Amino acid sequence: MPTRTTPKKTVSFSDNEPPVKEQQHIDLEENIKIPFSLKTIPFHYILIVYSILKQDITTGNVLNNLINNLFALIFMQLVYTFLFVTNIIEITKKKHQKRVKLSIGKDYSLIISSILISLVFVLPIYLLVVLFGAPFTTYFQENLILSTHLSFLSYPIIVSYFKTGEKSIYYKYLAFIAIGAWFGAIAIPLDWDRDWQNWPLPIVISSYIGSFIGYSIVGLL
Amino acid sequence: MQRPQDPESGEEVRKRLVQQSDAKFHIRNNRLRFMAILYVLIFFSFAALQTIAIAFFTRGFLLSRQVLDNHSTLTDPIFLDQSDKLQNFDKAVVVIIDALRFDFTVPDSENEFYYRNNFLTPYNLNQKYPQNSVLLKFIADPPTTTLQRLKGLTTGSLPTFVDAGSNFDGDVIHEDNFIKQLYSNNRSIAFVGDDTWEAVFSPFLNTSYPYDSLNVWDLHTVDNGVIEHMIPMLDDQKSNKWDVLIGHTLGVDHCGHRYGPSHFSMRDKQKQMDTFINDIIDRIDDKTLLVVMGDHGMDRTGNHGGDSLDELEAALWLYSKKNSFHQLNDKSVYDISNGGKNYRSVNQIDLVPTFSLLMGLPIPFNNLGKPIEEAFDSKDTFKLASYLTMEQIQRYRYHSTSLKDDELINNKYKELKNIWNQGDPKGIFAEKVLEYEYESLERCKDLWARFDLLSISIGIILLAFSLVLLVIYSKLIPSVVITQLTEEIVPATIAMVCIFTVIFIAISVILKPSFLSLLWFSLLGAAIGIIFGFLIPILDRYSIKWLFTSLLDKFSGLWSLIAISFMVLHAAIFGSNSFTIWEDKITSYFLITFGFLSAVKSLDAQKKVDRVMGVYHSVLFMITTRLVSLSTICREEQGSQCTPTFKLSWWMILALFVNAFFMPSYIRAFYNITSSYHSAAPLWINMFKVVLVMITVYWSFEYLEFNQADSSFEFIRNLDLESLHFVKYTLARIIAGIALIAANVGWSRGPLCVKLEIKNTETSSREACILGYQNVYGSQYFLLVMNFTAAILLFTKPLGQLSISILIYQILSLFELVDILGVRANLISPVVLGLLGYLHFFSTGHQATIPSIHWEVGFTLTEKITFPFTHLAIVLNTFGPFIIVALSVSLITLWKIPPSQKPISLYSRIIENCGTLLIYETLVALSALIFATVFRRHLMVWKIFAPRFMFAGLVQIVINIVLVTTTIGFSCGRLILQINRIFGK
Repeated sequence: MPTRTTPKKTVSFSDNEPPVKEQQHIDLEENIKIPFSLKTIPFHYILIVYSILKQDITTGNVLNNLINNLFALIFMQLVYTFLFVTNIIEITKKKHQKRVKLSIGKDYSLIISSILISLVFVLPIYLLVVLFGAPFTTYFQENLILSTHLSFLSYPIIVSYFKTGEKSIYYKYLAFIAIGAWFGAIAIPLDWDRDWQNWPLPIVISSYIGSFIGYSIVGLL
Repeated sequence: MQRPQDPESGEEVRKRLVQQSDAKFHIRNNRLRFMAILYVLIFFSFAALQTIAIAFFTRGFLLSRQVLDNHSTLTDPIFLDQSDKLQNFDKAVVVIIDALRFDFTVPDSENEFYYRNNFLTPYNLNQKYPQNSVLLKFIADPPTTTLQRLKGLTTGSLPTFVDAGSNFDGDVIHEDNFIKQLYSNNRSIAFVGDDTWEAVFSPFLNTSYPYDSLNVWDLHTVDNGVIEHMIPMLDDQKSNKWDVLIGHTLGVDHCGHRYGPSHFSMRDKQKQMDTFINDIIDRIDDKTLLVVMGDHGMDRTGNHGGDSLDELEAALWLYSKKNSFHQLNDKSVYDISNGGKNYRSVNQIDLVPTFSLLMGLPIPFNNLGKPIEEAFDSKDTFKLASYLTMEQIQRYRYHSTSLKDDELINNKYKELKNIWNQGDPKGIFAEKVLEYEYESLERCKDLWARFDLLSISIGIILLAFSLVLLVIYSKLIPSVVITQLTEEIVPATIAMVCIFTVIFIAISVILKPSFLSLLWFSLLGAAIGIIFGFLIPILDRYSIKWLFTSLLDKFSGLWSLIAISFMVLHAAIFGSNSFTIWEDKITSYFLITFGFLSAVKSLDAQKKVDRVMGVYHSVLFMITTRLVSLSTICREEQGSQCTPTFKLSWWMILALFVNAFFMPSYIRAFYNITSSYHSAAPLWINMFKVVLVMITVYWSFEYLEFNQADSSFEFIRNLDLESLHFVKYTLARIIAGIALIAANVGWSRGPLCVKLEIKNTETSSREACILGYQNVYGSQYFLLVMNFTAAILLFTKPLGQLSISILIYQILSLFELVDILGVRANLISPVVLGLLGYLHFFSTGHQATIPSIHWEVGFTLTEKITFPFTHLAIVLNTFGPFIIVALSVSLITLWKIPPSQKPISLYSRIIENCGTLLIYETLVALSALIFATVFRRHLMVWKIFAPRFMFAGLVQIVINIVLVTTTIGFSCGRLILQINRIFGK
């Protein structure tokens, strides 16, 4: 028999994700639940994609377009975060289930600091985007705005993370955003000369699609 | 073991045990040796099957055209009494300036390039004396290699792609051509220049001074020779009797290959040619026609062979001292703006009827070209020329079995014949005949691009079978069974190959099928024999259903899924030309994705040190991949989206010197991880450093030579090139000798990288500790990889060498990751290794196109083309990264493991990984073949899909050869045997 070093048996999408600290991972595994709910389907992503494509996406105007829509995204994410966070069910040690509450009055500092954290995350995401092949001598602003969009797509997750503590389920959401962005690259080499192929639109749009699917169906997985 | 109360029997028992273990050891060793031979045979069968498959496909895809052996004569009814009316010249001087692109000949007001405004005699004379001169753009048919162009230029027919391969050893043209016509009409021909002419036309040349054509480093010998011989022959036309004097200069072409068009040498070269043309003009008389032309152009890197506009657009200039020509009424067709982008163009084959008729010769039988209007003195003579050409084309069509039933063209011909016989009352003949000639040419092009679908399908099916066999053999069968099964497969395969070859030869001999010759039939038999030889023992043991469930079982799990997605996506990119041309970026995208995932996955590792090292190696893997992907030569289709960075500049030479010290030191660092830097390792790595310094010195000389005239240092400009050459060649030969021969002979003696450290400790007085035990296989095997790397580096251009250096780093770093992630037996490891091969193929300045081959590297060891050195150099340069990868694949299993007590199962795991690498390459090749077939009518087939399939086929063959001869054949068996001998008892 061949001697093989056995790989870890846990196989899930959360493997794609940033740090998982072993101990917490095991201890807190099952004490929250994010049920599927029509309320938490992020229809506003579809709206923003529509709005991006409806506005001027010709070369040179993409940047302004994405900046405008970024503000729309941030605003709508704030509202959506309430829907998302209040849908999470915490399971206490005695197996009681209770919904997480989020109120503007109590949690304003969390909401605001999460925005700041999202902004801080723009830098590592930018580096990752460049590492994956985005141009780094040109298109600096475009890459930055792309990273900001990606960062704010995960905003509800950041808020939930600080609200309930680290949970492995959150990494599934991030994985969907990342997979969406990854597949966006498929559209780049095609020689169709469409306006929506302007950098970085394919990545932005497909990461919206990826995170739409993620926020919708992770509850079902 | 020892029993004190009974010493004698104890001694006996011990003896018996020692004897037993000795016997076991010998059995195991012999069995190991036996398995090594079996595995070589197994992989040899795979290699044979795949090579036969690729050969079949190539045979069907690269078809050749039907050549008619008929010849035209002046007594043919078509030409009888007609040719005198058109003959305008008694003598001709033909100067072919190789790679004379059209824009070299027209003025440019901005004067921003070295290659413009130097060769303007034709243009100036054309402006001054429009009736004495014709300057036209001259469109070559692809492929734009000199031999094909010479065939096209003299026979007037279209060469096929296959001929391109035979550029290195041209054949005599048997087809009717105007050189042969000159000869049979008793004109004497004198020739000077490119020796391709000698190979192709030697029976017809009365006087000939051939010069070696393929030494692209030499810009002057051929040109000086042409000038030296031609000028005296022109001066003294009485004693040197010639009717047609042909000169073929190569300086401009070689200058393009060597330096690219934008180099000051190009300016000097063109000025020299300009003076030469002026000298000729001074010496010719009224009855002499002067033809100056390029046989093809060059792309922006100075190479040619493909079919981009820059490569196709050459220049044609006709000149005579009496008024023999006329210009078209519409002067706007001679538009020289933008380098003559919209200038009037004619096909290269159009020269054939034009030249033949002007010289009073019959038009060659197979000609498809049409006469050039400007070359005749009036509209009426042009009309007669067109009529004669039409008659000749139609005669050719009636003689050709595949063309004679084309009623569309035949009807056009009959209509034209009618108009001609009625004396052309409406004056529409000239216009209509052009249409006819154009249509006729297009139909021929269509027809000759027809493929042999039977051979193509056989090729694809055989390759698909080889893929299935590989998957079953190396992945589905449990490793415990594989050794037994191998022992059954080998005899079965040998028997089946014999049986099927005999059966197929018999079928071929008895039935005499028309579609395949005996040789191809026996090859097909052998291939089918191999397939059956594998399938019979396998299916005897397992059902298809079991294999299928095993497939699903084997290919699950995150890493396997990712590996499969990489493979499938890589194979799928050939479904679109856009993806195929961006293959370089796509492979680096996959590798960076792997780096990212492995960083994330490393965080799951149990030990902290593994987590840290895993993330460290992954991040560096991503960064190095990204850096390497910046180096590219850009294929033409990538256009403005890509800036070529693969050039030679001074900082690269500096970087090479730094690398010569950096590369050995990081290899040492990797050895130190397992304390393997002992005994053989320091010797090897220090020697490697010396060789690297020597390679760097070699390329510094190369750089000096390249930039000598540009240098700001006096002493460099005054260097003696001859002695530099001598030093350079000697150095290159020494390096090649060390890396390819001496080092490998040394390796075959079995250099161990372990050290026995004996120290005194508290518990026992002397304790032995074997340093390097943890990586005993890997440390030794990697020395072999270093040997080949040194050889490949010698033949790689400086930026490419930096890329290869990073490749070695990435491979070592990948092995660390494989160890941390525990994916030694997983699909992902060989797949990532395979991807690294592709990444570095592109970053060493290659693309899957013919013009991007670095032909000039062929002259590293010898000044002239010498088998096998030139060929070896080009193969190592082009496929270097793949060779390194195919060698390193066994290290996935061997790196960082202690001596195994089960050497046979260790061997079978190496075989599994070799098989996986082959699965990946086969899938990619299969996809390239299938899509080349699917897109065989695609506009881009000869530009994108056909070169990609040729590249895939060659990679497949190279990897097979390296695996069979070196990885499995030479090194792995020897290494495992040796380690087993030392540590196995």
